[in-house]
Amino acid sequence: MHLRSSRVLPSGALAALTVSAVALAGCGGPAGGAATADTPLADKGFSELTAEGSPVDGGSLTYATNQEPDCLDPHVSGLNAVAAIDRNVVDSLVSIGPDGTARPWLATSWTTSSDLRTYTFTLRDDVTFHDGAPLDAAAVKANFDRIAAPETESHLAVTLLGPYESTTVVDEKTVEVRFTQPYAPFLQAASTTNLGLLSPASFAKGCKQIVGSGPFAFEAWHAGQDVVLTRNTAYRHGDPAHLAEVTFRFLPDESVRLGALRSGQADLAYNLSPISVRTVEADTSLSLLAASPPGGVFSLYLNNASGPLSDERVRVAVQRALDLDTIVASASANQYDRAWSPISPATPGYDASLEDSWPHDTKLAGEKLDAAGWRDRDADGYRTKDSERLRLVWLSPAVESPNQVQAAIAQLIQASLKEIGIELVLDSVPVGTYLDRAYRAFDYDVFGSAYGGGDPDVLRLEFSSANRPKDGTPDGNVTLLAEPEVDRWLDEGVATADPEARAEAYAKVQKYVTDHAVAIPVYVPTTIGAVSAKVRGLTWDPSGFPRLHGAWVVT
Amino acid sequence: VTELAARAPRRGWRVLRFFASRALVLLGAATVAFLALHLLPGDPVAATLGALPSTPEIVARVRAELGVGQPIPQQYVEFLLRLVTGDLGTSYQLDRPVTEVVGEQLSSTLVLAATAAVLGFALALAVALATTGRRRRGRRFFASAVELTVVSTPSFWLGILLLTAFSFRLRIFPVVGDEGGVPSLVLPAVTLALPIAAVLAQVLRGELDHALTQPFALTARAHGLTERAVRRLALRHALLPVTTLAGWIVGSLMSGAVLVETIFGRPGVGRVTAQAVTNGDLPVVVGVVLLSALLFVALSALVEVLYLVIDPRLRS
Repeated sequence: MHLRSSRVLPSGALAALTVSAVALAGCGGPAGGAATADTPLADKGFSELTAEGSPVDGGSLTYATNQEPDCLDPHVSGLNAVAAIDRNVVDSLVSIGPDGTARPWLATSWTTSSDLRTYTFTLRDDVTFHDGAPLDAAAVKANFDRIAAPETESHLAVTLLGPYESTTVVDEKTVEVRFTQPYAPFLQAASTTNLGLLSPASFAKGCKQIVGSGPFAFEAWHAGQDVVLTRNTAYRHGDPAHLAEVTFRFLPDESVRLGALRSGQADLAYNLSPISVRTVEADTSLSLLAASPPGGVFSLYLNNASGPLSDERVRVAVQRALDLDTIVASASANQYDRAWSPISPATPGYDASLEDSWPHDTKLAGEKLDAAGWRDRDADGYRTKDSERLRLVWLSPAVESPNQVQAAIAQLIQASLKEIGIELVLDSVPVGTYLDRAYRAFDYDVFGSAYGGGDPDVLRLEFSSANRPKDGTPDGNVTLLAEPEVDRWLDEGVATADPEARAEAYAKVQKYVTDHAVAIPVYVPTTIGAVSAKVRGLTWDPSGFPRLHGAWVVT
Repeated sequence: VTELAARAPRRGWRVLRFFASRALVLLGAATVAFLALHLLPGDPVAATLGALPSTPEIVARVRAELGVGQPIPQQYVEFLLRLVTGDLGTSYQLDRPVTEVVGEQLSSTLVLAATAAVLGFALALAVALATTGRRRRGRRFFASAVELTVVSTPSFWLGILLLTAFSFRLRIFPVVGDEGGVPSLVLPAVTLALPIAAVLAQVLRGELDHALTQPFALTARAHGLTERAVRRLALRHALLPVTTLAGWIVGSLMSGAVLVETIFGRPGVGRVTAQAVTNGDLPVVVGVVLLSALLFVALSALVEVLYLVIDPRLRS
């Protein structure tokens, strides 16, 4: 996932959606210490990090990361940077296991009405918030009502609540959440940090603190420097944390994060680029962390509504002209996998049959362009029609520190398209201009972005006609696709709880997208970090964050 | 007596003009900031909300909060009135008053900048005094070469070099934060001070060389003053042009802080500025612009007073 700069500007991608939505796939805390939903950090040679030897209580861990939160409240902020910290502080109603099913967390059990509009949760009776307030049905209602209220100005949590209607307190330990329409993704959404439960007494205290019920409690936020968490000694609903203190230190420069880790001034460095992988692998005191969480992949969203790409033949030509295996491998130092579907392989409902279904084929690309009337060439070798050049604009916001992988990919794509006679202009513009051109004037042909999210319903954000931006209000569907069939499949996907029926509906959407080249999936986002060999017992949150609940440090 | 009485109102007039001209500079800065905020392309509502799907209710609420839709002149007057009362508006991204956002970071930057300024000046003075005058060709050539190299090195690179050497390898200084007190201040302050020291040393040496060839230096030597004492006399002459560079020094410290604070993970106004620029958080950017303008104006006033202290000839 691309956890970069800001809410407005993820490098080269559609702003917040990219950065923010990683949190979607929340994670399970041990409910009653029994079934834990955490998967070990076994990804890419990581097994040595799983609990080895006996845990040591106490000690502190310094976690070097690039981005400082804008607001610590996960109901308000949509940033990954916030969810990565908050996951250790707030608990959720349920967790999602590696198999994609919901497991107990704060809720011991739940029932779902047959129309998928009512969810009834039975809560644990032994959970208190860090301020001592009980976590009961009234607290759950207060949380969800608050997220839905416009004055909260929620960036991400409100979208996770979907067609929220109301919450009813049945009794102290039973709570009923109702939706205006069938909403199958709710359990997945409820497992995220953004729908995590905060002490209602803390709502009014603003962004600079957070009061949850998790294994760590918020201690301090030194603006511009770090956020400090301490062990929640009153944690009763699972094994308490081992670490006495965790410091999230904000070091925007990657070489400084890596230097701090290698010199022992940090224990974990997060958000490294693929280029750093070799350095990490060469250092025996470090282990590599890498994960490809569920959600959307980095795709080229093509403008289906206007310009040359409104012609499907031209879109298919672009799709087939790109040798993505080579482009992705060279741009990411062999660290990222190329993508075949608009959602990543870790997402439930991923359609593996799309793999190799639209291979690199420059001959086909040329034929499609000829058929579309782009036959002649101008002096620079670009194709023309009615003496107008086949020219595509890739719009992106100018950011301080652009994502190097995406920049390299853009240049390689530009070179590939030139070979078949298409001019690709990489147009990086100031934020204000960008928002206006992207969401009001739709003045672009190509848009590079990755949307996070643990549920295949992320496809709705990407391709539903209802999610087209309008009047300058940013939204997800920048392909501007308005296809009733796709909308219907997306509705089917949220109207059933049956995983197979859902997978079938979403497979149709994925196939439509690649068959008609609505968007071109490019690579599977991978989060890379490195951790000192002193750190043990780390686990991997399904959304791609190292989880500190079970971690300890050996001396 | 009559002459003194006649001069009093004239002096009052001069003081008034002194302040009025500076107020005009501030008004100019505020106006430019306002225009940047309102006439740049882009929707402040979109910038406030970030690029997430938002309900029409939220959009309407934010529009009202930002005063979008009122005529520009009315917004301008209201903006100025708010400025006079010390209200710089609210950060889009952090949803907190700009004065608070910038204010709580100010002390950290002031400590860093002041340390760097003192360090830079001291270093420049030492180098210039050690390399000026005859019979010092070799030293001077070496110092010049080092100064030129430092000036032409981007400060983020300088910072990373210092970090790699003294923090990552030798582990003398911590990499991050300002909670470490003096040790954690050393590397950032040196990074910020070196380019300033390099430029100041060049200017000071040139001025010293020039002053030492002046008739007064010859006279002083003829009177049997030691070379040391002659240099002290010459220094006073050399310092005057350096004072003029004060504005440049402040500018260099402020822009340097943006990079240095980001690299060293230090809190401060520079870091806030970098984030605000990246996030398109214009109220914060404008706040920093106005703060810089205020600083420049205050400093130029101080420099004028300093001229009078250093060079008595200007007092008449």
